[in-house]
Amino acid sequence: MTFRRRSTSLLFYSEGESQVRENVLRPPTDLCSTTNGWLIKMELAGVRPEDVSIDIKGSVLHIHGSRRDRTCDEVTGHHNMEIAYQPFYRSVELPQPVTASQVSVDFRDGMMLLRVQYSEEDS
Amino acid sequence: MSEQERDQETVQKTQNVRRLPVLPLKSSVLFPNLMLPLSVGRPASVAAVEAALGTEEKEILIVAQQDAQIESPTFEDLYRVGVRAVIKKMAKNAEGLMELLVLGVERVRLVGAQVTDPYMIASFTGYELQEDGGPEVEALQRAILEQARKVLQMANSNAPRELTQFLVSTEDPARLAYLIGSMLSIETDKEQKILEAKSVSELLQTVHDLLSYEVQILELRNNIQNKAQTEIGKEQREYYLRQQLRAIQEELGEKNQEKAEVDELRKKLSEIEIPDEVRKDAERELNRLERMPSGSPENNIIRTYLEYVIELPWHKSSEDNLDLKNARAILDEDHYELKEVKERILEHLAVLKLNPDAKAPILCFAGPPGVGKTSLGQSIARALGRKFERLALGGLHDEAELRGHRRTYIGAMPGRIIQAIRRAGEKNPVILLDEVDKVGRDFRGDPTSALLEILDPEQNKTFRDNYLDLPFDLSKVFFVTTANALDTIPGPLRDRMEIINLSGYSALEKMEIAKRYLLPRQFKETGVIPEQCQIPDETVERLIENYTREAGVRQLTRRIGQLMRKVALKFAEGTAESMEVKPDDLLDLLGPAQVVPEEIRKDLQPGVATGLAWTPVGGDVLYIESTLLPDGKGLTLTGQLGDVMKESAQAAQSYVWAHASQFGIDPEVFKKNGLHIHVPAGATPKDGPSAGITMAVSMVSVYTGQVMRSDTAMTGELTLTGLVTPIGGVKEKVLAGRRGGIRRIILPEGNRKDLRDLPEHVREDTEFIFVRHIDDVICEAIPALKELLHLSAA
Repeated sequence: MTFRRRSTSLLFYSEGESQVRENVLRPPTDLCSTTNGWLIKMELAGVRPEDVSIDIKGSVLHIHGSRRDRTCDEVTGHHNMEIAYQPFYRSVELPQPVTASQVSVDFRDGMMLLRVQYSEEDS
Repeated sequence: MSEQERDQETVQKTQNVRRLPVLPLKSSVLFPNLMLPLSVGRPASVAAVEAALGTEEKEILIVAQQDAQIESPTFEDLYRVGVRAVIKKMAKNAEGLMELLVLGVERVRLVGAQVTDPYMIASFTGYELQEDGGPEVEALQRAILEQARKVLQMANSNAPRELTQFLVSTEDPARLAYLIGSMLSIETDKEQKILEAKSVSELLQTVHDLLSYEVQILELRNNIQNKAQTEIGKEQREYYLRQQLRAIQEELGEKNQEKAEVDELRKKLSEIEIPDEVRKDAERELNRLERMPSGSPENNIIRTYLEYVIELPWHKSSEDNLDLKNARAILDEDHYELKEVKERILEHLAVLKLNPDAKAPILCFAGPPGVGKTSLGQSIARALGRKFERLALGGLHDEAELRGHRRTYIGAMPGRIIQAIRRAGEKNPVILLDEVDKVGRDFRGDPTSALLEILDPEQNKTFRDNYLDLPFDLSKVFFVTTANALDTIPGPLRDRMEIINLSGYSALEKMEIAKRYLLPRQFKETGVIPEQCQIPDETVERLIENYTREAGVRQLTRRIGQLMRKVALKFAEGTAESMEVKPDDLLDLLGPAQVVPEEIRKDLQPGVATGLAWTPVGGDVLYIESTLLPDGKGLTLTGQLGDVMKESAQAAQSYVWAHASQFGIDPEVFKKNGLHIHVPAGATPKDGPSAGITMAVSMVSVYTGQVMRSDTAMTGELTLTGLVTPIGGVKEKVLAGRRGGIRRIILPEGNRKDLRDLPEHVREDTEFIFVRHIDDVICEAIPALKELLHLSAA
């Protein structure tokens, strides 16, 4: 960890910028198109589906939630911790408005797969 | 948002009290939305972190301590405003310390604490920053950015651009303020003040104040640094440029001339053999020279000085020629007779043979001009195999001429002694101090006093020339001085020298000198071949007697030279092929005789006595004339007599009067007549007591009317009781008498020893009568009174 307080070193800012800007996590996200819509892949390992909420506002999807440590009961002491347990947030804008009915969410292998499927009529 | 709504919200938040473990910080403050690495070691803190990590959210309350010194703070020791934070990363290192990275989430106000062992749990409520945007905030934000830019520039010039850009890109004023606050190196209480600001504008104001302070501090620091730098800079700049110049010159193959000179001097200095003290001094001067800019006027002075020091023969001396036979041959070759001097020099050589470290003697040759004093110095050097240097001291009246000028003066030079030694290139030359009796003395100093030091073998081992300012050993120098008259030399100086009298030559000696040295030399100079031109002894004798009048042989040399030139002219004109110069030819060649010897008065009148006198150019025959003055009174003395001579005349008169009856003189004569004594030649000043007996004889002669023997001359001092005491200059006086044809000389008994100085032939054909009392003198001088005196004595 090269993050040093009061350091004027450039390293601190270039590395820390994204984290410093917001006090929430921005999970890595892929946006792909499919035959009839979009697939949004988000790295959300260790996040329970019930801890994720998706707000749809027009053509923008706001995905937020938080990662919580679910192993507290069996753990008796910590020696190293690198996984950030904290709220996360991403927003994705699509070319067309989206309705809740067009969205389906699936959690697989630590990924959240969010599909937006347009019906024939929509397009 | 209306006033009412805000109040409501506050109430809501107040009600929304939560609890979290507390992590107290000793000397730092965490700001919201910023990350902070922490090291946790205190057991209570470690326990608090463990507890936080045990929760799902990993949240902890981070609060600064009011006093960093307190190890286990209670709730009272903490500030009331802190930050709720998330632990993002944690690692335990080998020492058991916990390394944390925490992210500030929200500012909170602590409302109470519940102390659970081992850590503290505090209850808190949210404490949001009041948003009071508007132009004031905008203005403050810009001012802060400006200040921050300055600070960054002054504090660290490495990468201020990116950092500044980053700050500029931070739009949220609160975030900007916190960022800057975390970057400034300020005390905890000031950071806490930033954290506790109620509103955005207050927050910005606080940060602005702190930044301004920081700017001032940095400006001051820079000023101090700059000042120090410019002072060092000036000198360094010059040095640096010089080094560069040198490097460039070396690159171009031009060796730095200045450096080359210094190197040359240094090389020479390291090669020569000099005393340690001198080397130390010289090296110090050399270092000074090296540091000095070439344009400096002193540069030249020091260089000349160093060259002088290096050139001086500190240890170099010539090998003495200790072959006595050879030395004697050389001395004989150059000078006729002068046995005393030659013996003295050979003696010294003998001493040197036994003890090479023997001090050189300091000789003083005293005698009339032309007797070879100066050339004797030269032949001493030749005999010893040493270098010869001659210093003319005549008319010298500046002490600095001998001892040098101090180097502070412009155009300073070493004294003549050191100059002579440098010329000689050896430390043991023969230095001839010519005409030491003619050294001047005035307000500029007394050179004889400097000579005192130079000529003292005890002191001149460390002779310090003013210019050199280094001790130089003069004790190996063979000093020879010359003088015509010793009485003008101050006593202390005379005392230091070993005086050797060179009196005049007799006619016979001159003859020998002419034959052995002068004639061959003049033949050579005029190019006349000796076979073509015979000069018989009689001619030389005539030359000596009728054409010169001197104690030495200088005039004789000139006369011979003149004669030779006349002969050469004849040969060149072809009027003669070879010739013999007869005595009578001299009239043709050189004109009439220049000198007629003092006419020996064949028939002396009563009252005339023949005396002998000493002069700087040799001796002379002197007639003392007395005459009675009828009706006159007292004693009249004429003829430029000095005080001593006048007094000796009075003493003689008193003796004669007192013993009138003894000489058969009627005392009435004294009463009736005055007495006049005259000593010709009237134009020459005369002084000294040695004419005492002559005057007495003259008086007795005039009072008694008896004449003195004309073949006799006399000299001697007379006391009031009639004793005859010894006098000086016997040799000159005798020789002068002989020149005048006198073969019978009356001398004081005390001077019998001086006959040894006379040449053999003179002693043989002259009758010497030694006397103790004036009566004996009268008996010998005035034969008519002999019987009378014997009678009265009986």
